[in-house]
Amino acid sequence: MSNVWIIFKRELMSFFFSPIAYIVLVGILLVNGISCVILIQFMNDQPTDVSVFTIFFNSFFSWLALIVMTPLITMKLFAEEKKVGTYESLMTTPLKNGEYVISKFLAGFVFYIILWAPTAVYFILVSMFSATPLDQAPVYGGFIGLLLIGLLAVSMGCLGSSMTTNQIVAAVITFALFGGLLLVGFLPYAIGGKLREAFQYFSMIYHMEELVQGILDWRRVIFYISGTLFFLFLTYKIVESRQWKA
Amino acid sequence: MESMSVQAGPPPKKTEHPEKGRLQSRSRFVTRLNVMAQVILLFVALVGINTIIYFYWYPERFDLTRSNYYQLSDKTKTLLKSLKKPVEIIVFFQPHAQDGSASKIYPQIERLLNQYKYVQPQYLHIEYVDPDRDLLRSSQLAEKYQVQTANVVVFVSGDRNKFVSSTDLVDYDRSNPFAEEPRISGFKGEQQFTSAIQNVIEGKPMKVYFIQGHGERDPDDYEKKGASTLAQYLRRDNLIVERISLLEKPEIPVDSDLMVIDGPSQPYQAFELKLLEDFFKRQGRALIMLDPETTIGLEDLLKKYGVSIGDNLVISKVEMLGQEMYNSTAFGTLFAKHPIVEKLEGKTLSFYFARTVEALEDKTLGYKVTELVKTPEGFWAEKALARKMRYEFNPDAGDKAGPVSLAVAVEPKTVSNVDTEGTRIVVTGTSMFLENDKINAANMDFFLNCANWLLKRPQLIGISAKRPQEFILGLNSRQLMTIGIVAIGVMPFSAAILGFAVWFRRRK
Repeated sequence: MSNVWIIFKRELMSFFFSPIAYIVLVGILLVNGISCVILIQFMNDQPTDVSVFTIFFNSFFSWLALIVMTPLITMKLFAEEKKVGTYESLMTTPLKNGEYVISKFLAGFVFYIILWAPTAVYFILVSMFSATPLDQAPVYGGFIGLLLIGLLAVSMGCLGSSMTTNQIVAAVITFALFGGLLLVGFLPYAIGGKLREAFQYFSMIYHMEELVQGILDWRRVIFYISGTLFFLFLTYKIVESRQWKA
Repeated sequence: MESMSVQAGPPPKKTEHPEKGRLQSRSRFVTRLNVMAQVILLFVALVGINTIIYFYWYPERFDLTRSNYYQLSDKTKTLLKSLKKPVEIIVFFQPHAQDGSASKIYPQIERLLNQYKYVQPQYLHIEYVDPDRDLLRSSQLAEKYQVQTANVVVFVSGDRNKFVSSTDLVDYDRSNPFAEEPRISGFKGEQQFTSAIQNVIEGKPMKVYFIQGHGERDPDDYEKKGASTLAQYLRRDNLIVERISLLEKPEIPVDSDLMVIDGPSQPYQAFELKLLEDFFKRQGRALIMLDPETTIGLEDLLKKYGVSIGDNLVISKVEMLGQEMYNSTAFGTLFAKHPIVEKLEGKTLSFYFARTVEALEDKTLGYKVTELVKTPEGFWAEKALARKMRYEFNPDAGDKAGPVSLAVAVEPKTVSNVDTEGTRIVVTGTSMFLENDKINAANMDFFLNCANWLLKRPQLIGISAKRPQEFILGLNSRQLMTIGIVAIGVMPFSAAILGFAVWFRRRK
């Protein structure tokens, strides 16, 4: 456990020394800030049947931030160490492959949370200023959605990063995996019939739509956790393969 | 030769390497296979778990909203859980229609039916068909179920089906004449869908007769004073509504499940009263609404069932613009513990021009009489019915102080040897509160609850229209500016400064 903590801490701190992390942070804050301000301006004058936060979390801007930021923050997790060769020296320590993967994943996930956390300021401000007490369900639901999607996205990022020594390639793999799943998420809106319900099960957009309305469904939690486990297992096997390939 | 022999016999080291390589390569191949098998196994296991969950696991969903907006009523849950045969629900809607309310209410329909599915995943099968996109399926369904227009939800069970159109699903607020389109003020999806399911699974439809011939309201009268709205709601609940005149045909049909006496103004004949008494004796059910200033002869019959009809008018005194005025709309705010009114707690019933209806203190009767709803204390029952300029509460003149009872429910006491077991009667001290132009959501809930209790259909009691959620920000320009500065200025700028500081320090 202490191994996980040491690697996790080292990895998390390395994010804060990386210029790309700050570029991502500034980008996210700008995109989300503009999106939030436009929505508030647009919905301020008259009563609406959906909350401004309901739209915010499932807006084009939020998905744009997610699909761009995740590959950028996860691309270096394994690829960098593979490239510079520090991984080989790590293999000489009593560190287990599983601990190595978990600590990297946790560091990526915690940094993902740190990147999204400042957006809570918008909701605090709106709640403070609003003329009527706002139902916080869309905010809770939205953040739960971000956490669940973050688990899956960061695990995809771990896989992408473990597959190559080139960080750009790692980012492209993650982008393709996440983007592919995101695209499948549009199918329930395009088709009818029995298949529609099946596609809803995989649709991140649909899941987010439910959550931002204030509905938490345990089936969605199982879906994201099982997806995360699968991608982490693949990552683990790739990391492990270096031992028997050598 | 020598050199040849050296070449022919390979050195011992060289013979070991290919062998080792082969072994290593084989070992790698086996390991690879092993890893692939593990990955496939995990993949299959996870897909399997998710497939089982997809088909069979529908856990209760958490409603995070403050008002539990998405919670289904207990009645709907009870009905859904009691299903014993499949019910097909076909949502024949245009979710992408540019005009009309269909596209607005579609998400609410989908959300609601999802909730239904989570309560009854086994027997409920929901299919969404967009007539604009799924032309083949649309034409099949149109032919099979005779669907003439889009934007209907069809409920099918066995050979019975029921249509709920988009117009049945919403109430509109048309108070703003300048609005481009009326605002949706209530979503009645749960009420309509639950009724529709009830409708298709029930056996023979029940019959409700409205007695006519003494000035009673007509269920087919669509004018302001008519009772067509009541009839419409009863029909929607799979009930057959018919009119009956005992004067024309002096018998109460044997298939009568409920008799409604809606505000008679003229007395009943003796033989009619006898017919009604016989009907009650053979476990009949009746809803009787009697207005003040009328005597129709039923009063004595009702005494036998423990009900006292007051010869009075329930009023209250109000001050308006410094003037004393009298309010003849009795508000029903105090509710008894009874299935009819237990879900109405917090609502106000408006009994226009009402008389008192109370329970008699006669313990020898075999009936339990419950005073369902009472006025607040400020009302009193005025005995002097003559129109006067001033009314004063005068107990000596027979006035009764509030809270006064406005409606009662009669049912047999739970004693096994009562011969009239099954008789149920509800009596109200007015009928005007259910007129077409006076009926409101609370009054309608009360009426439907009465009808369902009388018909022993408790599962439909207490589902009222849901007001759409409303979010108001109401920020002033200064507050908007503050949010804008913090969100687009301060926060990204602070992050940039921090990043620059880290980069600068690292560079040094």
